[in-house]
Amino acid sequence: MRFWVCYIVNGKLALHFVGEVVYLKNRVEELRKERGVRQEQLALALEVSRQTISSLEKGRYNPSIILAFKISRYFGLPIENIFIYEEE
Amino acid sequence: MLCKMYKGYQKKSFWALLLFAGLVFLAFGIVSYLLLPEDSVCLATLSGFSAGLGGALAAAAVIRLIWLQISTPEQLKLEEIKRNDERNIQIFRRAMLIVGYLSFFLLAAMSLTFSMLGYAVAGWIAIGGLYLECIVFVLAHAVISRKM
Repeated sequence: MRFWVCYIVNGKLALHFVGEVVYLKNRVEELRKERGVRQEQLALALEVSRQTISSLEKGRYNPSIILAFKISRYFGLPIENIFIYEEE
Repeated sequence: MLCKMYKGYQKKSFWALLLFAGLVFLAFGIVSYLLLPEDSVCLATLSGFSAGLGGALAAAAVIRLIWLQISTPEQLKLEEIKRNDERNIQIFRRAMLIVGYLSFFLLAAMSLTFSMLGYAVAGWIAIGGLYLECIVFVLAHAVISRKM
């Protein structure tokens, strides 16, 4: 997701790309289904809501680093094997 | 942080205290209204406000106490998880950010409207609210910057 900012510099109008929000790709859904775990069970184990797990799996929400560590500990895998950061 | 609900949310003593406070406000509102002279409109409004606030607090406390009584520990645990869920907290903070922006412009519009309608005092109160928001923002920014 990218957004523009419009401002005036030296009397001229300028448009500027202001960064972008990067949503991490992840393998949470794949790993969860491999282990036969439901979203509710995973949510309870990680002490988050089921909606958070759902949003995570759909790539609509980036977890905090603490939650990312909890997920990696739950699945017994390094964070890099679960969350994939790709620069556009 | 304010976004994380006070832990007393699940304590019966907190809600019992709130129920007591609500009943006090309600009683004060009703008694003061009955004792007021007939021509005191402003004080009657205050009495009504107090009674309304007390009634709302008492009703909320009663409903919450009944819910705490009938809930299982698993339900309470789920409720606590939902309240402290990081995504829910982020959603709440973003929504409050929008409200903050909106209230700033709303106060500016109100002060302008009241001044144009001739209600100078109300206009000045709205402007005072604007200045208060700016001061609170600067102070909050300074405090949070130091903590982070």
